[in-house]
Amino acid sequence: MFLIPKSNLKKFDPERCCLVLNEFAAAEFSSAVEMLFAAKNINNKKLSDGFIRHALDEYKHCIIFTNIKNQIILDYKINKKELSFVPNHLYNKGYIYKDHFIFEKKKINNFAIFIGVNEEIAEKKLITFANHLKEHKPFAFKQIQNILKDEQRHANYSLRFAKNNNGFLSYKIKVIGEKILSFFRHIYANSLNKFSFIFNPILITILIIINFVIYFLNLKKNATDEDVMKNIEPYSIT
Amino acid sequence: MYYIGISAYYHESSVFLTDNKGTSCFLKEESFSRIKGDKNFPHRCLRFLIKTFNLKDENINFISFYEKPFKSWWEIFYYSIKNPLLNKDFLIHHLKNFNNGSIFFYTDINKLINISRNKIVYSSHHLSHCLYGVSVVKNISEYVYITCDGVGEGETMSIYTIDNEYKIKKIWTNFYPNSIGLFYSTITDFLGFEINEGEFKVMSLSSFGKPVYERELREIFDIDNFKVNMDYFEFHKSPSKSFSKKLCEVFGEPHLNIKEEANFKKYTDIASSTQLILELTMKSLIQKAMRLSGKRKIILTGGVALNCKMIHSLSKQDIFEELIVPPSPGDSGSAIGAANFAFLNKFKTKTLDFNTIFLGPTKDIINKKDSKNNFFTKINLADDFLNDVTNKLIKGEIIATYYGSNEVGPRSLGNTSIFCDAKNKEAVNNLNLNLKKRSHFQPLAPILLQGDFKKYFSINKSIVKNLEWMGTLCDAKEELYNEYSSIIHIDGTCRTQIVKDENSLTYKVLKNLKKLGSDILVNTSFNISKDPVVFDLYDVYVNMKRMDIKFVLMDDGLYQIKDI
Repeated sequence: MFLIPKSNLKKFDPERCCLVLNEFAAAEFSSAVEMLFAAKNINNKKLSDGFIRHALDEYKHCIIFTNIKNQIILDYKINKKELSFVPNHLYNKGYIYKDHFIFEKKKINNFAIFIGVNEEIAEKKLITFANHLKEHKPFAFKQIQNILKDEQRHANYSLRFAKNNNGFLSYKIKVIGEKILSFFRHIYANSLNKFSFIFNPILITILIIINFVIYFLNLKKNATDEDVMKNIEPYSIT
Repeated sequence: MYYIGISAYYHESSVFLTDNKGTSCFLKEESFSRIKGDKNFPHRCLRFLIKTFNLKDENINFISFYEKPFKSWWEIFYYSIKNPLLNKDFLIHHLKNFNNGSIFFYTDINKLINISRNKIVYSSHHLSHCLYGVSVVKNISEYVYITCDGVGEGETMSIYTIDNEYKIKKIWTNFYPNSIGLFYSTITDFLGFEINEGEFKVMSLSSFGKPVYERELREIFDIDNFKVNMDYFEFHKSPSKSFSKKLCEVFGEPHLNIKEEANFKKYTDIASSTQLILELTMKSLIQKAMRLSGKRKIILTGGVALNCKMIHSLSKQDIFEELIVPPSPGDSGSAIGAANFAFLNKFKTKTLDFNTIFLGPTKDIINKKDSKNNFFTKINLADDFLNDVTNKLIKGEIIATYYGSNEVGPRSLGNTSIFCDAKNKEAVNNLNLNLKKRSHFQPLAPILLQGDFKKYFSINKSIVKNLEWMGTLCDAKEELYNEYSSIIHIDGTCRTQIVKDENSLTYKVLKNLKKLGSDILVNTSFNISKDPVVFDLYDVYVNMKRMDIKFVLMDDGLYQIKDI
């Protein structure tokens, strides 16, 4: 998981729990997609196989989180469309990039550190969330324990690989650097919506001005066209 | 010299490349990103094409985008800006997306390939749909071309005619917000399904209900004048919600859980009523098109045409001589229409010519040589592997297929599918509910040889062409109920595919299956719910592992999955 959802809930709120579970499912799914891409593009059979196994685990986790969420939705009769998991929303939520995979931008040693550090952070957040669920949803707590074991294994494997392929000092510096980067990445992702408080009034002002200009325009539309190919301007975007 | 068509930014992003001399390649961005319905600019598809075909400015004739970017952005904005404060949420969202959209298409292309500006052309949204339709028929002037979708460049329905000199006339247009596509999507949203993804679920649900809300829905959509009553909608006000409180006053609470029996019954009635309104509207549109053009043969494109229940229902009313919906009538197929636009724009009196519906790349282009041995073991080294395949199918085994060229449309037509014997109820249920994780109300589709079709099914001859790519439903006969009841939908229909090409592996499998006493296979796309169809061997392996499928049929034999 490369972008880890906020999971420090204070009291048990089924709807809020479902939102967090949905975010964890999204994070796992995006991680699976990244791993699958890495498997396809690395010229090392052993590492490629490892990435595939990692991807399979992440897909499995996504299903577990989704199943837990669906059970809570049923138990508490929650009707919220926002709780459905839509892969296409992963882009807007910042879990994956539109034009590249992380593997394309990092060398394998750095990629391993990236995975290891983020899996460790995810593990900690997941422990907090699992403990939150323990009392109210023991079935979920049990299932999340299995996910935690996988996450721990992924982190250990990645960091061991990174340790073996980096000098001691270089490894330590990169791990700290990745932790700092991860911290800022989360701050950025969580504050995206907050910028709207600044920009929205400006945009509304622009809209009112456009509305005023348009009031004086008389734009006509043609419902018919005698020769479409002749009348279309192929180089124009309007 | 290549012609490249691109459809992106709003729906499934896709690219089509052709030299019109036998080389063609249709790709979807979702195949590379593994995000179903990926609508972003197709960076990954284009990188693949650039590498595979060594694309550069010198060997590209034109790159054609499927619509006019600014017009598309502006027309929706223009409707909402008339009331800026009331519609502010939508407008702000639309403004913020200005620089993420297709207006910067040329910049996006140039990041990947340094191409002259005069090689970039822009078609028009509904014209691209229409020109894709042209590619599936020979006698182009005999047809009237109807396009119908949510919205594209402010248009929602258009009617075109084309003469033998390729002069295209637009004879009628309907404008945003009066859209039957948006109406159907809004109900999809109301029922709790995702827009652009859940419409086919509404279609499946509709067969379980009765159209008890017809009167109410006629108030909301005027089927004779193709007008919506905007009091019931909010898609022009909000980027996240398409229906208003007034619609909730009619139908009650939205997004109920349909796993509960009472909710299921109610929602099937809403779906059934919505489906009826759609069918009546399309009937009205077709009659208008026939009246204005004087033609009785129809090519229907646009996302609405994906509703195969509607095609089946319309055929029963005997209002047209022929109705063809091409394999990919939605926006993703418009990449082909856009390439056709560039070609027609250059040559004036001819269009691209295809003789197959499998326009995707072959598996050897997609995969590295010998990579299949990493994941699979060939289980029969002799030439009679087809016997192995059919024996396994008869015994209830589920077999994935991965051969030939990829399909164009949203439906897998055998080359990237999952098969099981349609006679085996246990296998069919296991495939639908456990492996594919589909809802219980979504039926699986049968596939059989063309020669066996009449034994089990009936269909009006006006829509028979669509059976080649699952473009319509047909009716089950008594013989089907006797032995293959698990593939029949509750309303007695099936989304059947017939196989004609005797050289295809699918044909050979079916032919061999007949010898063992079964005529029909279940054919479903090779993916898990919410995932795109498999593209390369890595996807094949991962999907087989996730679904616990042991065998995959490839061009050269039957393979068993390995543990890695």
